[in-house]
Amino acid sequence: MPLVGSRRASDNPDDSPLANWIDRARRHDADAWDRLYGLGFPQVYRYIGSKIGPGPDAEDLAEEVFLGALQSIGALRATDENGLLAWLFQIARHKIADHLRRKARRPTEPLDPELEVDDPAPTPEEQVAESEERRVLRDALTGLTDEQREVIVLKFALGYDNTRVAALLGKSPGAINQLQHRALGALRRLLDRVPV
Amino acid sequence: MDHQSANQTSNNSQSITEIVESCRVRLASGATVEQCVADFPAYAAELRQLLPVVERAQRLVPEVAPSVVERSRRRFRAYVEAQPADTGRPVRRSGWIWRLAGPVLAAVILTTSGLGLAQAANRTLPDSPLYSVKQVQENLGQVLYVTPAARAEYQVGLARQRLGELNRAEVLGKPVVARISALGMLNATELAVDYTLKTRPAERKVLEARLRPLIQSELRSLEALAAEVPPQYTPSIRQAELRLKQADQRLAK
Repeated sequence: MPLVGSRRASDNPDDSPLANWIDRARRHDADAWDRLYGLGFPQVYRYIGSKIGPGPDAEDLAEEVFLGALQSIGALRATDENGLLAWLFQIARHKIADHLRRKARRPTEPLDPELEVDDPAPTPEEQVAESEERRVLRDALTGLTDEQREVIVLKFALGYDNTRVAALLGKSPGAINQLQHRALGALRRLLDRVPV
Repeated sequence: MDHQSANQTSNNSQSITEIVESCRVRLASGATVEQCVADFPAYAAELRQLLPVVERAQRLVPEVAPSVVERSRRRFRAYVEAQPADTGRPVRRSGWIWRLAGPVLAAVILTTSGLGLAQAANRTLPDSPLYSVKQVQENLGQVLYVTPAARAEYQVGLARQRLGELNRAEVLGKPVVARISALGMLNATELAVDYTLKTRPAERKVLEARLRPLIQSELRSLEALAAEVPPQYTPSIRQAELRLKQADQRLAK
């Protein structure tokens, strides 16, 4: 489903600006929430998955983000896609922090590799290898500063361009460029230390 | 480092960043690191260090399967539709008569079709076809209560209903169904607390005396449920526990 927000409004509800959907969501319109969910869930899921790994936990937390959004939609002032995503990602960061705290108290790990991802890896062995590769990278990301980690996730894992990343982080595109440069260098040094 | 060297370093990092950006797009489209390096030979050494990191970061999380999105979207929609319409902001309606029309019509149908149907619906669980009848009854009931105290009492009743459903579903070995009731129970309890905090002191004491033991019972049931649901649902149960504790703390203040 293409993202809307910059298209001209028309009489067709499917072409309504995103601001209209957000306004209707504030009034508890199920269709509006359906729309926002369809737009936002894949991105929130991938944002969370980049931090804790894709799979059922990320799916559950992404749902929790929208449950939290449903409770606090009245406080949302954004009228565009960047504002909506920034708000959802902020809720997601709290959920991720809670999840990691709970997980630290329950150190058991599920044995199954990440499930039901749209992954081209054809064999279970390749899926396990991909899962391990992602775990190594996630571990390395924890060695970055919060800002550096956000740039890596938003820019490279989620594929956002500089303009969007700058809007989501409240910084200038130039500042994002500098952050990116330092983040990539730091990440490379961290990955070089990982034994093969 | 003097000012001129710092500027040059800044310009170099800007240039390499722009190159990395264009390579990022190409790598995402299936190009290889060496194909990108070939177009920028002056930066080959640095690109061979940075682009493999970019490639790995791009594989950090795959696209979510459409089936996962759809399943989750349907679940969330069901939850939104089950919530009370009044969330503190006015809902645009044609008038109060139309607000009553749906539930009144449903009540008439229930009455003329036989009281047994309504009674049978009372003990249903969310996976039952009759559950929608129960929801109509509850929606009708909400219309009749106006003051904060009356609404709080009503939500306490709903929370007790949901707790009963949760416990029944657990006994029947339906932990996923129990989770749905748990979410409804949490919502009703939080609304009950919201309304209680708006009541007069004397009313509030009475409502607190009902709510706080109810919250403790709910927490005990959630603790048991957390041990039985599939692992992917445990975080949401724990989150519900946390929210109940927060609601209890709001009452205690």
